[in-house]
Amino acid sequence: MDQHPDFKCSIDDNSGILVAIHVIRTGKTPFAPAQWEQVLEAITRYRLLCFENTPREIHFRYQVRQSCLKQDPPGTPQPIHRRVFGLICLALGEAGSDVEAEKREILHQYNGLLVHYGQTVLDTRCIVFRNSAAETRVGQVEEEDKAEAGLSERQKNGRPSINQSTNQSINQPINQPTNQSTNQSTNQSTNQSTNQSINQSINQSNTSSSLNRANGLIINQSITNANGLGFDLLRPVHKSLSEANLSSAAANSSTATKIAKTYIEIQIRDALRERISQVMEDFLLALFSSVEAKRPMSVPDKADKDWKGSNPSLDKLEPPVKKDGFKFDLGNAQKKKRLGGMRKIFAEWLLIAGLPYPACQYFAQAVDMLQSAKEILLLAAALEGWAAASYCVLPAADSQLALKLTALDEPDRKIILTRTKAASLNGYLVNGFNLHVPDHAKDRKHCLTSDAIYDKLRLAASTYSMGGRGDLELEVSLKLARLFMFLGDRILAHKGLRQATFVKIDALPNDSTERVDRFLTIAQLYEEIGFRRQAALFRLLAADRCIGPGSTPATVAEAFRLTVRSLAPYSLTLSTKPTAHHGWPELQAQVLIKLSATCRSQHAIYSRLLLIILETFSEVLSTAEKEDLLKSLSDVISHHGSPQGEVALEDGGIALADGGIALGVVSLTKIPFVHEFTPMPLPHHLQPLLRPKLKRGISGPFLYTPIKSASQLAVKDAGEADFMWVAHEPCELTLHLSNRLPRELRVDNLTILTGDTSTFESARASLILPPIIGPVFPVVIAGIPLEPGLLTILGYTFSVFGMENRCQLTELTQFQRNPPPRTVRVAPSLPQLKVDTSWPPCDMFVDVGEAVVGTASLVLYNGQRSTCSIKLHNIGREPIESLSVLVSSNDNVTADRCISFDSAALEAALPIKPGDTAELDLNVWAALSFSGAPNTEAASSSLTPQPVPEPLQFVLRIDYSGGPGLLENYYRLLSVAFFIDVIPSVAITHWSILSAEEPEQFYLVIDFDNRTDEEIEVLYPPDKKMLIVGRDRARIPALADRIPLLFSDSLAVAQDACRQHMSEKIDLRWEFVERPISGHCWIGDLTWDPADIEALSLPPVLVEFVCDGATVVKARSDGITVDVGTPVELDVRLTNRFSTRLSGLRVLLGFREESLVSDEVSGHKVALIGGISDVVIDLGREGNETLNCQVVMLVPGVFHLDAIFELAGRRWSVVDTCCVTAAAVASGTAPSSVESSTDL
Amino acid sequence: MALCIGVMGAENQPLLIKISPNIQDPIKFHFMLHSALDVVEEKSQPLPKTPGSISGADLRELYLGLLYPSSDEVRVYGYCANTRMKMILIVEASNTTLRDNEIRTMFRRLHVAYSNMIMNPFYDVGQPISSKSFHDFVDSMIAAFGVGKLVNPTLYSVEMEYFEDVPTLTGIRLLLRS
Repeated sequence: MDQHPDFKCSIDDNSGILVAIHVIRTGKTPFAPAQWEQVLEAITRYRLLCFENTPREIHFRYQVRQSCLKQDPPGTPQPIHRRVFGLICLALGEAGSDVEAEKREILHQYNGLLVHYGQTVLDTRCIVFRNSAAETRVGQVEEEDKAEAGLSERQKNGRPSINQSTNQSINQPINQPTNQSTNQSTNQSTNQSTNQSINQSINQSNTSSSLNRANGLIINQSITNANGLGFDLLRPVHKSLSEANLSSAAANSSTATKIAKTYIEIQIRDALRERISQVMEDFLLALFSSVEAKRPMSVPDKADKDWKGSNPSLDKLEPPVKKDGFKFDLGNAQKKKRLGGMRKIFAEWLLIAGLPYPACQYFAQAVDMLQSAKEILLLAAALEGWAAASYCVLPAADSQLALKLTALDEPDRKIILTRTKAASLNGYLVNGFNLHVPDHAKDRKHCLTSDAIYDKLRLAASTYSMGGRGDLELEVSLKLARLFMFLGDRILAHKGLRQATFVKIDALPNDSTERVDRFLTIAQLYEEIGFRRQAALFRLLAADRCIGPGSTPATVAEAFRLTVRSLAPYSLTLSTKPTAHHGWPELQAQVLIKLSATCRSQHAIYSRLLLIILETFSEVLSTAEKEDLLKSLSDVISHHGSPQGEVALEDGGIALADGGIALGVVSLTKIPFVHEFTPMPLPHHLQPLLRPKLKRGISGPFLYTPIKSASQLAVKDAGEADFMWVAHEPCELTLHLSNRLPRELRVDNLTILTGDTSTFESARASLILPPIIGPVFPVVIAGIPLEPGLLTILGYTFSVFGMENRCQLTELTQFQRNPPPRTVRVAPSLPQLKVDTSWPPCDMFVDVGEAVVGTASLVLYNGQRSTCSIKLHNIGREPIESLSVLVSSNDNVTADRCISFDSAALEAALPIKPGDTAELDLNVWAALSFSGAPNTEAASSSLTPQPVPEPLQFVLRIDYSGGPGLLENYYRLLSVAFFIDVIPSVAITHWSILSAEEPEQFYLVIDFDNRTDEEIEVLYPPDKKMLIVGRDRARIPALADRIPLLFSDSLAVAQDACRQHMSEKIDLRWEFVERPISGHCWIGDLTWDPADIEALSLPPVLVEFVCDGATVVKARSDGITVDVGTPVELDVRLTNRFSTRLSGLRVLLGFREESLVSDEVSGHKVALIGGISDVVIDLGREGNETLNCQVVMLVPGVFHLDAIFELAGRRWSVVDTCCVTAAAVASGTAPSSVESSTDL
Repeated sequence: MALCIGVMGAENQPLLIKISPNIQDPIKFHFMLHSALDVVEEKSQPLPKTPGSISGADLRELYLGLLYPSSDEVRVYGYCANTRMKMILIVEASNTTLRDNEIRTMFRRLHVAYSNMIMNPFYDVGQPISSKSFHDFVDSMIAAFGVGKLVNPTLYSVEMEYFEDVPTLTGIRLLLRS
């Protein structure tokens, strides 16, 4: 049972009289497609038969596809609208063939068709077209207008066309076909392809015209007879009869010649169309009259009654009730079934006869009865019919729908039958149909509303489904969809389509294209209602069906076409690069995968598509999918190479309506994915630095102004890197790659893309990225900038799968937020310096707070000196023309003290040519603090503690420049870190000041503590030595000059001055006895209290004592000796040592007896005459003052005259400067009195 | 169990697609959601203006009801907010415990959760939703709605045995409707 559904069905089909169109093929040439369309268009021109002044309309339906013309199995009631009432056969006679034989063949096939449709067909025509070549008409061809020239072109291509010669008569002599054919044959033999004017003629077997009826055209004889014999004989053509007639017709050659006489040739195209229309009009009128004649006029109201009259077509529905003998008692259900069935049939007749109102009524009754009879298929058909009938009357109730229909009205397609015309055609309209529709028939009681129509159709569909008629169910669903699409209810139409997708049809052959057709139909309908996504989905489904196993190139091409058509609803186009940000990436990926599967034979397109998918949708694809795609891709590329440039669709049997597709070059930005793209700064010591330019004056009137000038505001370009590269020196970029594909990825020729390729020379890297899960894979690409200036970095290029790729940074989404520097400034060439030190490098990591190129370290005893020789090699291409060295340390005071070098020697070495070396000696004195707490007894008695090294750190900064870079104020900075571990040698635990013998000197008394285990000799001024054994201590007095301190200095300043003076002037050294190691002690950090400072500071005033006018008593001499009681002239000369004025200087002079401890000597021992013992004087700058006095010694003894100065709250005493020895006088004069007084 | 919840933006782009973890072949739910958007758009057309009302859109109910005929194996419900944000919920047809009212409540709760999510000033409207709380909410919704047996529902009733031999096609599996 053929269940192929008709995908073009619509609800109108139920109300139309079905006319089947068959092509009879005799020769090899079929109808050319264009020609076929024209012919079909002409044949099916009339769709409607209207009756003047009545609403009655008769619809005609043409069916070309034979698969849709269902022959229901015997015993199955076939709905009226599916019975083939009319049959049109079309034949194309071949030029040059034997006409007679051809005719016989046509007749034979025609007879076969008549037999096939014999049960239902009421009227039939056979129209034969003939291509004829005519030499005789060449002359007329010349007269043709230019439009004809195009036709001639087509003729050359072998396609037949209709010759438009105008002066040919329509009616040809009867014997012309024979001549024509001979002409053709001769013509073809000589000139087959060139200048062949093909005439198409129509040969019509017109049984209806009175002229031809006389000829007794045997083909249609039975039907002609039936028509001619009137109503009584309207019986179905019996098979046997029909066969008999036809076989006789085929056998009888004499009748065949008769048929030939009825051939009418029409050479004019318009005329041809007119002629066909005329023939069809005749045919349709005849057909209608036959149908009308056959239509039952009433329906029996009892189950046991038969149709009134003897309607042969109705008899076939089921065997008539047998009335002979005993009576069959039909069950109630049977009765209802029969009654309902008859009502349904009757209603169907009414419907095709253009009487929908009564049809509704009878359908309603039929549904009622059949429902209770549980007659599934009949019920479904009745429901469907009811809905169809209701739809026919819907415009009457819905004015909008009526308007819509009026707008769609095509008068050209109507046959309007006027009363007079009907009368003139009386011969056909024998049934005496009533042109008037009874008024009672307009009762809308049984007519359904549109919603009800939907329900009934849904019900019909499900009922068909229950009855196992999937094809019918599908058809009803499609009808439903089309109906509501027309009515404008998209949701209901969608539901109908949805229903249609679910219909399951059994018993379809495997190679059937039903499913493809079904999906295509549904897609088409969805598109018509504007559901683009649904349409796309169904197109995809259809495409999937096309590329199953056993697919041919044609079906694959079809699948490709379908997939391409469904791209748009997924926001995909092939012309531009797909982006994952618009649309639905998961679906887009799937659709593209499907598309790629349909164009496997097109290797270039295929591989390009695969690349697009992998590139764009790698996030949404599963690993297995990626694996598949990669496998396919590598297969294709290994066999056919990778596509280069734009690839276009080859003409491999795929022809697209829009001219094919072309896929541009894909730049792979995610294969591999670059996470990070960083231009790397040069190593710290090689980074070029720019000396700030001196400001040329202040731009504003204020020293500080918040107003910034435009040049100040011109901030650096946002995309410029905050570092520089140097021309002709290698630089680096770091790329962090990852591979998201589940396969190893080979990346070749990875290199950097710069704005101007001539200014940058990039290295190329090739690598193999491990498959997925690989973390970020860093790659460093080196390059050399060739010119100073601004270098623009555009992106990177690489090749994978043999394809060159250029990735611009601006196009990469991962860098949108945090873009890498786009430009890097390139400085002019600069020299490069390499530094070697004679010291070994530091063996541990110490953070010095800045980047250094090297380290040097040494261990020194505190106070020890050493020299580090630093070699500066110029390893660059430019000479070093400027060089400066700076020592930087956390403690600059210490650094200054400890480190020194000869910068003048360095300058003399400049310039250092490339390859040359300069040397710098760095003198280091490990002069850390020597002061330390004394070792306690416990500490000294315990095990020897390891000396804790004290570090001395500093960085040597060398900034240098040369060559073109120097001209533009660029320089480089190189740093070397020095680490000196200082271990203790000796320590100063205690110190004090003692006055020396000379008033201008003092003793620095120091307790040295030997912190080593070895013997150390301490050398101290003046040229003395002290040996201290290990861990022992010793006290030394170091003689030193007093320190001239300004009286106005504060204590702190005075202290500093003391320290500095001492560290400079007092040379304390130590040396190991056993080893040749020595050092200088630094005592610049000893603390002094005010008393000490007083003791060691030189008084501001130089005191000289002048005795007897000339003798200057110097210090440390024996002094003067006087006799007791004798007055001695003594001048005290005061000289200002400083360059400042001393005003308000208080001078106190007083005698002190050497043997006594007390300070002051009482007046009865010494008398100082002159009133200068306590004076206040002013001393100018370097001025001097002499105080005159007389000294009288009253008792013998040794007295010292001390001078004490007070100035600004400070006090100096100059002691032991003047020693006066009083000797007793031998004679008993005045001295005796002195002596006596002493005794007293 | 709700099989799938999809939230789509005004431009019909997917904001959040959650598919029940039991589902074997989630891509077909993507196809389902995508094609259901046609119906959502159709159903969410603003009503024609009627006299007395300000705008037709005001009258439109956000809940769109069943999008496909009830005879399908899954039931697809739609919801379209006034901002054209669309939500589609797919449940098993065999799950008879879910009534229309419950679906309606479910959508309302989803809408509230969406509104809360969109209050995040850092959320870029129209971009895929990454809010964890919203994800959790949708997950809980998928898990909460009953327990179903249908693990691999069919899109269409046509068997698709041909697909098995096409390695790169992992697309729709059309199964038999029983």
